[in-house]
Amino acid sequence: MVDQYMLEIRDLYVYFRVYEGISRVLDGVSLDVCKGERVGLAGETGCGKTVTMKTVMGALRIPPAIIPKGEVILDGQNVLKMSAKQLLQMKGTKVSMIFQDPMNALNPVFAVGTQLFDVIRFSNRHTSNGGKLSKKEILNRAITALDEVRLPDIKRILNSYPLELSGGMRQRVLIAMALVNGPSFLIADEPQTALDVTIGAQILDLLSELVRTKGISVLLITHNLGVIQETTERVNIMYAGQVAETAPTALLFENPKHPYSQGLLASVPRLTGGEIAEGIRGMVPDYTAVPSGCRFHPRCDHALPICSQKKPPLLLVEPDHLVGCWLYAKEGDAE
Amino acid sequence: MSESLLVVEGLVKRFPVRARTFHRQVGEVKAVESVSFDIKSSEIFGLVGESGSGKSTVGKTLLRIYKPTKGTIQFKGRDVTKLTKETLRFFRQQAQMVFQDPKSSLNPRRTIKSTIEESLIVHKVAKNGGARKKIVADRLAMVELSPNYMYKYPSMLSGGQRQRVAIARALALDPSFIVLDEPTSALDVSVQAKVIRLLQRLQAERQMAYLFISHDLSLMRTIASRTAVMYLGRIYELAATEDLFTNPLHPYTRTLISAVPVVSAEERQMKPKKQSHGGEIPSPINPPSGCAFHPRCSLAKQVCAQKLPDLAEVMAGHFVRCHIAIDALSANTRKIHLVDSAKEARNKIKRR
Amino acid sequence: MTADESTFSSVGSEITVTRWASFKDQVGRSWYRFSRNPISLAGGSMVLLVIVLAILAPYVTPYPRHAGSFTDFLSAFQPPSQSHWFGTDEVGRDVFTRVIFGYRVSLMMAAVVLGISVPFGIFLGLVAGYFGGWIETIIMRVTDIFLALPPLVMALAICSAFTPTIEKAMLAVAAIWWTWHCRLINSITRSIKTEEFVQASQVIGSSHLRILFKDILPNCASAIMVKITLDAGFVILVGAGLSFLGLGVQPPKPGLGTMISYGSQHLPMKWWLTVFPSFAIFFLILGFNLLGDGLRDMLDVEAEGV
Repeated sequence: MVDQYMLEIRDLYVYFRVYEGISRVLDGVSLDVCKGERVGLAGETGCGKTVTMKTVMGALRIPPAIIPKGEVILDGQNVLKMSAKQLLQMKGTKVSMIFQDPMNALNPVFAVGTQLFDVIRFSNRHTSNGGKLSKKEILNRAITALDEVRLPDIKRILNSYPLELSGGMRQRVLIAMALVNGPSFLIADEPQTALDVTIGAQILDLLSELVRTKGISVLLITHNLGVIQETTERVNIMYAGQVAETAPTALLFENPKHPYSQGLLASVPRLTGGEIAEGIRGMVPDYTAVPSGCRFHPRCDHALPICSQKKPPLLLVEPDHLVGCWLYAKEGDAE
Repeated sequence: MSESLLVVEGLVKRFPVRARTFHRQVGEVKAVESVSFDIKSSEIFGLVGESGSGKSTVGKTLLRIYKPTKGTIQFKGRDVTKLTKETLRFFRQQAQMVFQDPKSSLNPRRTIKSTIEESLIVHKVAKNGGARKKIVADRLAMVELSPNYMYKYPSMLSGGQRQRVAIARALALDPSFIVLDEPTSALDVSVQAKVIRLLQRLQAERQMAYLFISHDLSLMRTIASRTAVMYLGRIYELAATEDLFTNPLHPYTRTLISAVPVVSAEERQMKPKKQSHGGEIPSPINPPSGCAFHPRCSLAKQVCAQKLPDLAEVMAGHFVRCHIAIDALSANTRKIHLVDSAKEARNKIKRR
Repeated sequence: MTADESTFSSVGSEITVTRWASFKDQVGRSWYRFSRNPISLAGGSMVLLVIVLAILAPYVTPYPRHAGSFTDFLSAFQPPSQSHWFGTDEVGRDVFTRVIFGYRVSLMMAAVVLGISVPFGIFLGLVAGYFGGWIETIIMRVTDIFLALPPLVMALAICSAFTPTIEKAMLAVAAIWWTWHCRLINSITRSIKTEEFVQASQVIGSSHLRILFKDILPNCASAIMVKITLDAGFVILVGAGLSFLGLGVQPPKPGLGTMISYGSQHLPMKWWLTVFPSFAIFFLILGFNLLGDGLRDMLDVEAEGV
């Protein structure tokens, strides 16, 4: 059943040309998002989350980027082979994004309404029945969209500029913009990071509720494991351009298998108190001189001889729980 | 309990808001409004709050980056608000700061050595280059960095390494008090864990006191021995950290704890129910009347909008600024009083 | 990113990364950024070529004697040829030689004007931006007054009040030019002042002077370098303008502006007398501008990143 996938990334490699030579950022990333599923992509700074996201959105600049291998299939179409026009079409109708910093994502010199109307017009141009919308129709759609994200006093908000709104309200406006074209797939890049704790919680609650009622598939990218735990059904833990582990969220957080996931979870300070772990020794490798085999092996306390020689495949350790680690290999897996 | 290293009383800091033309003052940001607390020597005191709560301003005013509008700050018995040149020298050597973002707190045009040795030069601690180099190497070793970092520039370092350098700079003169202003909020969790462990180890070894400022409640739980919760320039609850998390009294504290995204089931169970119906954080230029949280509070009564409650000690060492919590608890204590007096009366009768 | 975050163990271990190695690495990175942009590379080569030619003028020009008051009426007004690439002027001097010597004067003018005005402007800008308040108000309002005078007009006024010489012209331009640097540095200082590393130096107890010269000034350096490069072109243009009006370089000294001025009397027939000096000015200013843009890219420390 190919159709059940909203997004399929298959064995994706992305490199960059830099001063030191070639920066090998993504090293065979595979992950998928089923239709209607909310999937998390977690990892620390520089693990390749953003590069993955940009590749999916067709927003990588080539060069300096090079994609030697891999496929990104979004709703049955290969994004890497799309023309610029097809990409626009895709963004207008199927895919939307929510960014980390709501201030940067809005243009400060246009009123919120103007920007929202533009989005509505843009997406309408790309839908199959794309006739011209009347002004009234556009306004109605905008009002509905803002009402959905529970913004009060919509008339005033339409006429105000981004600087006049608080961070939480701006993020609500962005969510409204992202959902106004009725997308089937949403990429949310750290949607709560720039906001305060209590406001961030409100935004996440709202977002979860909206995507659930509309049946939108979501890829949530964040470094905050707590956010992943509270909003996603499945999670991929990424380390240095490789997917370390993927499993249903609750399962993974309860029983992490990959030494990196274990170290990461142990580093999270707990609301229940207690000492936090020593963290993970060493640091994220330099992508121009990455370790061979499993990229985590120089930092791993359980490393085996094979770890430095061969990249581990994703191994099934229990139903629906895949780990990219040789520790869980059975005989014959190495071939 | 050991003696207080730092006593802050009635600290007020307001920033004027000026119009573009003629610098006319058109308003005030009430960043800190009458904050009082004390920090014991070799204690980690936590200050938690959201943006606009004034927690960073408190830290920066303590170290005289900002001049306090009102209030007194006593450090080792000396009033830091009225500094003479001599006390200022003493204070600058004793009290240091680690900033939030190591990217902006390290001068990009200085080598690591130049950054760390600055205070040695300014306070004329080590006059010749060789002695300074030795001290710099020693401080780098304290933060677990090799002396090879000496001639590097901050742009060549990772975030965690930069923050270690910032800590080494603070340690240069062997201070007894450090303000840590969100020292790990720009770092990844696994790096944060290492930096926090380092800070804890240094604090234990060198008997320093920390003022630890953060918005991360889970982290506060891990590191601080006492914690104060700030909202719009005021402390609304202050208690031993354990107490604050297991028995939060202020609706804002509860809302704050309930909003933390957590990873485990135990944590989810310990979360209190949120006592807020949403809403935005008001601006500190024009804070709400009475209790500043009342527009967002789901328990708010009429009195909350009219009168600012006092910060009352409702249990030993547990202070809260909330009409409802104070009323509820003092009703309880009154009951206890009643029971006690009834007992006493009975005893009196018996004695007769 | 080279060493491990926390694998450091022995305290007294050798310092293998020296100051020199670190410096070389910085230079290497900067050069990489600079050299990746072909336009800035072109600009740099153009400026370098002109500077080298100007310095070596007596050795590289075919007729070094033509730079002065040489006359050879027999070969006057010759069009460009094998022996005279840019032709000859009304007294038979080689235009190419005079253009190269003209560069000398132009470059000297830029160096003197910027050498006087830039440090002055930087110092005032630093002080105004760092201390703020009434100090800033006074300095910046004075700057505004000077800014209202166009440098060319100021130079015209000074030169026509006294006997026009190139030195007076340079002083006149310098007297105005500092304002731009003052403004630039003032605005940069105001933004750097709020950076946390300045607050960190305050907490340490550094004096104002130390903060100004060790923390703030080095962070203005890249902006100053870009501004100087772009300015050099403008100063040369102003200088040529003055010479054109007869207030700068006085004949028989070769000035590019003077040459254009004289040549224009013989237009359009003796076109080479104006076209080549004009092109020479254009070439140098274009070079400075391209170089300035390239430097800006190169000096943006945090501009890169995957």
